[in-house]
Amino acid sequence: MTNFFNFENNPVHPVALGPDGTRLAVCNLPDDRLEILDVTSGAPVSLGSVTVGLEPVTVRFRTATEMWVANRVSSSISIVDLATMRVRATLSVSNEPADVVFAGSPPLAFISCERFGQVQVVNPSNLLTVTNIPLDGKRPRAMAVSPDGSTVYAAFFQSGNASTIITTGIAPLESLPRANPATFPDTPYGGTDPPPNSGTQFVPALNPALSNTPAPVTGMIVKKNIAGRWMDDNQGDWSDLINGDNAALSGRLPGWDMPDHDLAVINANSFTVHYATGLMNVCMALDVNPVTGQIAVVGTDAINQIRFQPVLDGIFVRVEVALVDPLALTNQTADLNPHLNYQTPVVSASLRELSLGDPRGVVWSSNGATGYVTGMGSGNLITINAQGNRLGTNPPVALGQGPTGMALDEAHSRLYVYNRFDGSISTVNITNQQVTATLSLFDPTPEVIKTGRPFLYDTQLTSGLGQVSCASCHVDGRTDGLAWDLGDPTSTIEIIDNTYNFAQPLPAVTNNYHPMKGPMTTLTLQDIIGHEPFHWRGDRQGIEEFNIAFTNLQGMPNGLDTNEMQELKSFLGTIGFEPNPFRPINNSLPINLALPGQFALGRGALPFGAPLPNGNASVGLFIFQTEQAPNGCVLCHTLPSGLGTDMQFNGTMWVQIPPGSNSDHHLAMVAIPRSDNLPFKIPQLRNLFDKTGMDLAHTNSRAGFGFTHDGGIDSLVRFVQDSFELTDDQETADLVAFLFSFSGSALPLGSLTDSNNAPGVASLDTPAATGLQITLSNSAPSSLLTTLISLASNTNSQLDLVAKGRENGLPRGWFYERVGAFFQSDRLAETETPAQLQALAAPGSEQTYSLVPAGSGERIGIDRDANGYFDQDELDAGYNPANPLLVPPNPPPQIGGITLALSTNGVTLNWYAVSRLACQLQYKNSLANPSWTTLSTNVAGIGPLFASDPTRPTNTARFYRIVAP
Amino acid sequence: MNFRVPILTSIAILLAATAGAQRNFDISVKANGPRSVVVSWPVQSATPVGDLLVLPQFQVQRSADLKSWTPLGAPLSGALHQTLTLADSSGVASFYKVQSIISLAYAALDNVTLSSGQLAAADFFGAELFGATLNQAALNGANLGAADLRNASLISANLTDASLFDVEASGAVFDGSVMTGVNASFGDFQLASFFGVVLSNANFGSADLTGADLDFAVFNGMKLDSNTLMDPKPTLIWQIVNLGAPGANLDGQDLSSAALLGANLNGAKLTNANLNSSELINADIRNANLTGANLEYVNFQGTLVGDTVMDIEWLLVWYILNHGAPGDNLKGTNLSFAYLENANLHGTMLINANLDGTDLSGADLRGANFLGANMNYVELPGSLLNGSTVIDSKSLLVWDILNEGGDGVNIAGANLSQVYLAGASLRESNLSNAVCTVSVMSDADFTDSNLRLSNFSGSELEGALLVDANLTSANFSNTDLTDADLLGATTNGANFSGAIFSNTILPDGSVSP
Repeated sequence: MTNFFNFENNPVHPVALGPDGTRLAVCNLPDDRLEILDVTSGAPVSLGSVTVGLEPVTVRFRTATEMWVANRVSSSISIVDLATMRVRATLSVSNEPADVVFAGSPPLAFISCERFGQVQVVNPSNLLTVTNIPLDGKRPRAMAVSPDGSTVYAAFFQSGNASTIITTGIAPLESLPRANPATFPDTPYGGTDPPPNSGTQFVPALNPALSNTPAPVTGMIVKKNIAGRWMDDNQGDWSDLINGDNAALSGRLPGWDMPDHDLAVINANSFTVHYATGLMNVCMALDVNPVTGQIAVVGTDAINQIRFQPVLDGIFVRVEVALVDPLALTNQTADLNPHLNYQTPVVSASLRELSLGDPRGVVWSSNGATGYVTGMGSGNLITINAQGNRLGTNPPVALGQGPTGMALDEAHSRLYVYNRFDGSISTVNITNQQVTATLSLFDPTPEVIKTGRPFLYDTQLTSGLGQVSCASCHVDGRTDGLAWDLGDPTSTIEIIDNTYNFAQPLPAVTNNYHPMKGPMTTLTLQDIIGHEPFHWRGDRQGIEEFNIAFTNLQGMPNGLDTNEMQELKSFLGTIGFEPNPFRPINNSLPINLALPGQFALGRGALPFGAPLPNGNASVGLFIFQTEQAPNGCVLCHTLPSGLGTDMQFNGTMWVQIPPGSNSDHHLAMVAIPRSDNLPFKIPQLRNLFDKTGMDLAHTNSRAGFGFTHDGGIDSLVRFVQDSFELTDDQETADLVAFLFSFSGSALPLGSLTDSNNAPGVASLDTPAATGLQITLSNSAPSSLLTTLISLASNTNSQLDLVAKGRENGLPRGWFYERVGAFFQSDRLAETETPAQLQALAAPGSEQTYSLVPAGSGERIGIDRDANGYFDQDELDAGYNPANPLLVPPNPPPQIGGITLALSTNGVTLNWYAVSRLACQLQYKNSLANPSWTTLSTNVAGIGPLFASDPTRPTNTARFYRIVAP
Repeated sequence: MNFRVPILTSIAILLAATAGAQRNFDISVKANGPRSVVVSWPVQSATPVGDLLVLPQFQVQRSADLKSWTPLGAPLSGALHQTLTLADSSGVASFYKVQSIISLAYAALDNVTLSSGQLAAADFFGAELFGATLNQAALNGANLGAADLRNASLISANLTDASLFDVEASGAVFDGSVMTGVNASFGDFQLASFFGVVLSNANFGSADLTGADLDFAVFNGMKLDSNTLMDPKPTLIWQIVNLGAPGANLDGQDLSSAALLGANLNGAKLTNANLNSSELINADIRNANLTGANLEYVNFQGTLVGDTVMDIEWLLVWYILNHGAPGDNLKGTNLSFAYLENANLHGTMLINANLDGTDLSGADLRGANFLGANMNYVELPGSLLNGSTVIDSKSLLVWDILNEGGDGVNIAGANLSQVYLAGASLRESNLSNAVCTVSVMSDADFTDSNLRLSNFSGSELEGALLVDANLTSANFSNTDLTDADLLGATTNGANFSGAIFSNTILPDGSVSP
């Protein structure tokens, strides 16, 4: 257990300048704090910080003295008072809040909530929800307001790009797949599959060695062009099969469309919504030009309709700005890397330095003439004019690692930029475009993460053109929601040998890995290390085999060396899953889960299109374990991850397969008729809810890709009914509810001796209540606080409970010690019972209680720099609690206050421990004896501890000691 | 329906309308002034009462020569039983017809019933028909391309020239349907049932028929291609029927339940082959070697035989089937398990013959002598008997039940052991104390009958109806009650030990797994 759980989120609007221009608020994301800085002198000077919720991603000033902070993992808004630097209220909002703006008359707070695609509107005066505005787009994230305050703009982070897949659908496990529409005679290539990608030829040319081994029949990615035609990468028009009279051949309806909403335009008073479309597929940030009113949206656009890795090498994503007309909602798009012609995958280092990658921030000057855009991937800042064209030819301004949001202080010709990866603030003189100051914030991010991150995100380091990285598709370590055909016509067949772990006997030789693998959806990088092999097909035995992606897909000149690859691997191994949004706070399976957006297919009692009933995920688990009994889904999809086992059954029991030379595991694969007996890794099931949005049963589809390897299945309802021939609507709802609730562990584990229920691998995830917060301003009983304490009290809890508040005017912190059921304050000597602590709560001295991942509670609550010396003790001694290297000269002992008590029941020793040391009570009867006898082992905890010697020594003396080995 | 109206006369004639293949309806054409007529007709459902209501649109068409037809106006629609009218003031002497148009492309029709519907040329492209019932529907020329027909039932449907292109029909039942000329290319028919389906000239190129039941399917002219997936047995049968197999080595091959109509097996080696129940109608087995082959229930009608090596008993069967044996002396012959449907055995001497399991359905048995013959399981539906036929009383009773009807009969204590009574109707009959052991009584109807103390031990009762029957103390041990219906039956003291219950409706209405 570490003291830092890595959710790998990135900021949205992390920097805000106060209305009077003297105060700068910055979200210190990894530290879960809001930093307050004085900028009157020119360089930011820290005034202090306020602990908010988990993963603060946005801060906005509502007034000169009040700031609202969106906490993504906590699903909360912290309302911070600037003057007293305290959280005066915490607002629980819909899952995954990203940004907050204030608009309308009277002004209301508009909060973008990504998970369920809505904007929650709150009255700031009473913090009550006015309405929830559902949006027709995936993951509304960054927001902005029109100059007159009447319109709110929300950009969809996973908006898609009107590309989709033509494929077969899904058959029952033991059935062969249906015919692929790409093979039909009346299609652009007369049924040839795969079709050529350049006239009648393949470019690059097919490896002659493949001539005797036909490529597997796969789907086709098509994309809607400006004329509304659905085209492939060779000018093949597939419109008839997408939205024409023959749409049923691809499982669609005539008129099927992807509106491709990229920007929601919300009337701040009437709450009506319109959309701007066709901007780009990842809309990362936006700002409104104060003069023209145009909305500048920056982000990336994928060209995933283009096939084959050699063709896509280095060029698969463009970094763009789209300027949207606020009335007509039309747009003009500009490439933010105009120095690139994308004719080669590599350019000179000097050209690469000009590139912008992963743009996460944009801000306009007040005269609308200049826009500033940061590149989180490229570590730099560029400027654009009102038409979106880059200004100047000099290299961009080099900032810290991972620049994101900005605040523009025109009065002082300064721009403040938050650098996410190195936790610093760059101050840029906008007149001469020089960095004048860099302030490092305290960043508790473990070194293993900082060291490895560049290999995921750094576009200049890891690509030949300087504008792409792994994170261009694995956005924030997750997915772009698209499928890509990264087949390689020039490559060779890869033989499957007995190092692969198959749940069935080894497939026939002809089922080896063909290089023309067809479209595959981007996979998440969450919790992948230790769960090898990789890719949908399991064709990469370890991360080490991905160097070819750096060189042959990203154009990186030399790839990673061994050490760098290990650093990347170690970093990836830290990324875990966020709390499941469907489980109740006790992390159990929901028994009455509403399933909006899931509807019947008409095969049961409900007519087609009727909403599915609420699902009982607990019943769904039973179905998962028993469907097609006696094996159930768990025959392949072990719990709690859904992955296959990394064991093999020897006839009696499951035996661990030894890891490979790179510590790579061998999770199970299958080759089943449904997949044409081609090998596939048994996929994990913890992010299925991320793949919703595609809809083939109606004419309006939010996403172009859904479930399974090529994204061809639009809904879990269709998946479970077509795969497992379920027709009962309630059974279907129950199973879907369980699949949505999959992540969060706490599921029945397999058995070493049951051949049909193998032990699974552990899941790196967090319980549902992670981040849950409450702010109290009095001592009245709070059922939620009681629940928080209860959730943290279990000895096996995956949650710690911390409290932040004020005592005697000072900001203080507490950590809930579950063994003693008390709150340890940030002064070693001070502890409170829950009631005593809550009694300190009052208006002006509010207390915020938060559940955090187990192991991180002490750091977040009472020991910011995790050096073993509590924050207030260090402050009392005049030291910086955010500097682990400096400790008071006479620090409190880590083990101290030892007392001994003798009773008829023996001897009891009491002592006081500071950090979680596993202590032992030892004794000997003579100091001359070199050996100590251990009485009690592993007495661990913080605060007062004790151990006993129940024997009554017959000797005249006995000597005791407490050892922390 | 075509109708020509001289303009200068006013004539109202009602004629039966048979436009396309829609349900018949009457149209009327009446003069409406010197140069105008009014065509009228009632709106009817294309499906019978009880089915999903399907109201077509109607397109009036006009022709001057009964060859070239022109649409008149736009398609019209109306409510059930509403009379629609269309006036034509062209003043041209014309014939008129009304065409029904059913347009249900992409419709959500899961689990609906369209049985016996008149759905010719209907458009069901892309429709959701999961689990739908279209038994006996007229679907000739219909477009079912890309439709979802999984688990649908199209028993005895007419699908002539229909399109099933890219249809999703795994698990669908097409038994007995006519699929002549169907375009089923790229369709998914895995585990579908095509029992007895006519597939002549049907196109199954690139279709998937893996696991499909193709027993007795007529493959003559059926089109496949190299991408068609079909199990080895039906593939072999298709090859024999379409490509011929003269001189082929088919030793030990399974060709049972196959429609080998007109197959060229001249000189083929069919030793030890299994041809049980196959149809060799007009097939050529001259010079073929069928030594050791299983020829039980083979239909030899029209089969060409010459220098064929075959057990003498089967040659006799062939002879009887093709030439008849009226008045012949066939004493003691072995004709067990033979297919002799409609055979002419008028006055034939079959004393002591072995007719165990012989199919004499429709045969002329008038005046035949079955004295001492083994008549166990003889199939007698439709056969002809008269007062001169010498036959044991049990077999006579069986014949009576099957041909004269068994409803309401009192045959308490009757011996019906080892008989064939499949499909027999014995509603409201008294079979108390009857002995019906080890008999074939699949699909027999015993509704409301008294079977008290009867003994059915070991009998096949698949699909039998025992609704409200009195089974008190009856012996049903070791019977097969798969798909049987015992709703409301009285079973006090009845013995069901060893009986097979599968999808059986039990007396309380529950269904066994």
